[in-house]
Amino acid sequence: MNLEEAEIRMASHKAQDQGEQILSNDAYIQYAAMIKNAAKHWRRTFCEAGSIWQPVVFLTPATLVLFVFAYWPLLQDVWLSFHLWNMISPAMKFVGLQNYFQLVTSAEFIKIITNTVLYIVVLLLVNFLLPYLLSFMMAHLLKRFSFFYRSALFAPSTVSLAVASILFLWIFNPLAGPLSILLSAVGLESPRWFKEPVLVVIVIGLIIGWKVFGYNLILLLSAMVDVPKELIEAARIENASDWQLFRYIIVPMTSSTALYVFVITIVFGLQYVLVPVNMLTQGGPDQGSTNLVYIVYQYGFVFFQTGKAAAFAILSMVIYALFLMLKTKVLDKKVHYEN
Amino acid sequence: MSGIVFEDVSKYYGEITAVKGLSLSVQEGERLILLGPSGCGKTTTLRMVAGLEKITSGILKMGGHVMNMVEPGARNIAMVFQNYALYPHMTVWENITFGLSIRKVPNGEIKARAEKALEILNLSGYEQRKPHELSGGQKQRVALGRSLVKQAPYFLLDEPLSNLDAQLRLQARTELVKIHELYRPTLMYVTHDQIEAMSVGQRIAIMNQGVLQQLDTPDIIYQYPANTFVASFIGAPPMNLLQGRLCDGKLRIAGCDIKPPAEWQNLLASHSELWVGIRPEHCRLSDNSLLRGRVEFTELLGSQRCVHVRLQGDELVLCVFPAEQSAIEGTVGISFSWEHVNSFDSHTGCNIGRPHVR
Repeated sequence: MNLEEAEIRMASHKAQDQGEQILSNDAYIQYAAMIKNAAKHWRRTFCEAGSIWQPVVFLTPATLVLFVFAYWPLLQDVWLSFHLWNMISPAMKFVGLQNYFQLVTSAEFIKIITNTVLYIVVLLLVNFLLPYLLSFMMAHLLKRFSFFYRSALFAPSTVSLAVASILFLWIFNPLAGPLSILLSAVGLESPRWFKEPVLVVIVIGLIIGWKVFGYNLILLLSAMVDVPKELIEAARIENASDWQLFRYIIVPMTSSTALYVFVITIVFGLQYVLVPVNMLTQGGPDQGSTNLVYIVYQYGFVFFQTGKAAAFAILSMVIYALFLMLKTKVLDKKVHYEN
Repeated sequence: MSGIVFEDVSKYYGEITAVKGLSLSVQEGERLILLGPSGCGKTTTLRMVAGLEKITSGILKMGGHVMNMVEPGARNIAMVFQNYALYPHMTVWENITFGLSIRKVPNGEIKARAEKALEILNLSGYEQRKPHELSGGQKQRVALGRSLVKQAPYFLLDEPLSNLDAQLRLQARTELVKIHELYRPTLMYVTHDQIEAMSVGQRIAIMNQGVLQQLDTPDIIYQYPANTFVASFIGAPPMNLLQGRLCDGKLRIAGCDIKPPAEWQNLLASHSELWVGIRPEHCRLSDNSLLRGRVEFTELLGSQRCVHVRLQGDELVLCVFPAEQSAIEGTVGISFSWEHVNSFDSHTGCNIGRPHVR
């Protein structure tokens, strides 16, 4: 009789004494051994390294969270986009693809897409191209004060977009703002920045740029200073101009970080638009400053046309997905990864 | 006309002195080695020639023109970096032709030069490889090829072989000399390896703490080191430096009185204390000895054996190469011939000279 068995026997005797015995002694021992085996089997299947169930065990919590908070809402959204519902009425009316048809054929659709593209252009200029060139200058051409520039340019990133919006509302005030005072000093009349189509997109793009610029700059700067000094010196010895240095050495060597910044500039940038647009223009004038992200919010939580909001959300998701596919299939191939 | 001349060149990084009052001239087509321990200013000197470091004071002339303020790209130099500095995103071919295409050399010419360089360096067939697909030796040859195609009159190398293993280094050393012989650019070569310096260099400039110690052919540097630093830096094991005191025409080293030959008497007369330098290979174990000491241990160096001897009443350790004897123990006598002796002033460390050289 080994030790385990003795333990089990003792436990069963104890149970017997307390008058709780349901099974006969031998049956009890068999039953306990069965449970023990099952536990061992369970442990071997789920807990030991190399078992096929182990990854499942580890991944389940994350998968559950993702499913509950991302994929399930997404499916709900698809379902919602086939209905008319104002968030209050108990009945949802199924309308099939009507929401999509209405949205594609509406007059504002072209405007929304054009605005979105315009936002992308402005954001890429302010938050990608400009910090790319500036980080190159700061890393490789600037001889001193680099710390000052770095801090000064990064500081706005710490301010919230809502605060930035209010700040710029005042700066761009066409009657009393500092910009209008400057303009009138040189005899120009300040345009109504937030009331003119196109102009409003550029101004909001600049507000987002002011905030995000510094962060992207630091990202790109880290890639720039990662380029070994000898490579730059070798190119200098070959009489490469600053531009050739940038084009043939810096751009390929920093391309992986640059691609990342390029993607987040577009993907995050369009979402940043929500805050200033909601605070300053509510999509106006005449949907002149709305974009694919803000329109979803507006249809859902201002107009209470949840079906249309859902349809817009699906549409923007498809567009994002196409963009990321293009990134993987085309852009990634042109990028130099270190390893 | 492609010599390099330093006239009292200094380089300071704030408070730190990297190179101090360097005056040096490199002849056209010569292989000059800058040799010294790390931090001696040899790489800084090379980088000043390349234009990668600004000169604090003094004049640098290349081909007779003052080059202090000339941009690196306008100096017409080719440089090999210690870690090769190959462009990792370019193929071997692109790496080699990059400089030429920047300089707008005609395409046919680029092709011809690059193919020739690849052939010389045994790299044919590797044109489309990226640097990370090459071995250390191949990378080093690509770096060499990149400088070769330029056909620049100045060829600067910053420890080009230090990342190679011992065997490859040996091979690359001879290849390097062969390549130099091909079109004879003015070559400046930085190394901390004295064997490399001796075998590659036609002249060696030895530096220490930013100051040029001696500039001469490897032979003379080895036989007549200018001061105690050069004496102990060159040669492995280094030259024995023994403290000597002169009294009544006799040289007292480690408790032994030695009578210098007549021609040395005048030379040594003005120095009461001095360092006597004798190379280990010039010391012999013999009964008819000048010095006596106790054997500490014996070291096998392959072709030779090195015996460490502690001299009487002195902490100095002497090193000699015995002829064929195997076990050497106990007290031994050491002799040397005066023709191989160098003597250094005990205060300045400078070589006093030799009777027949002076």
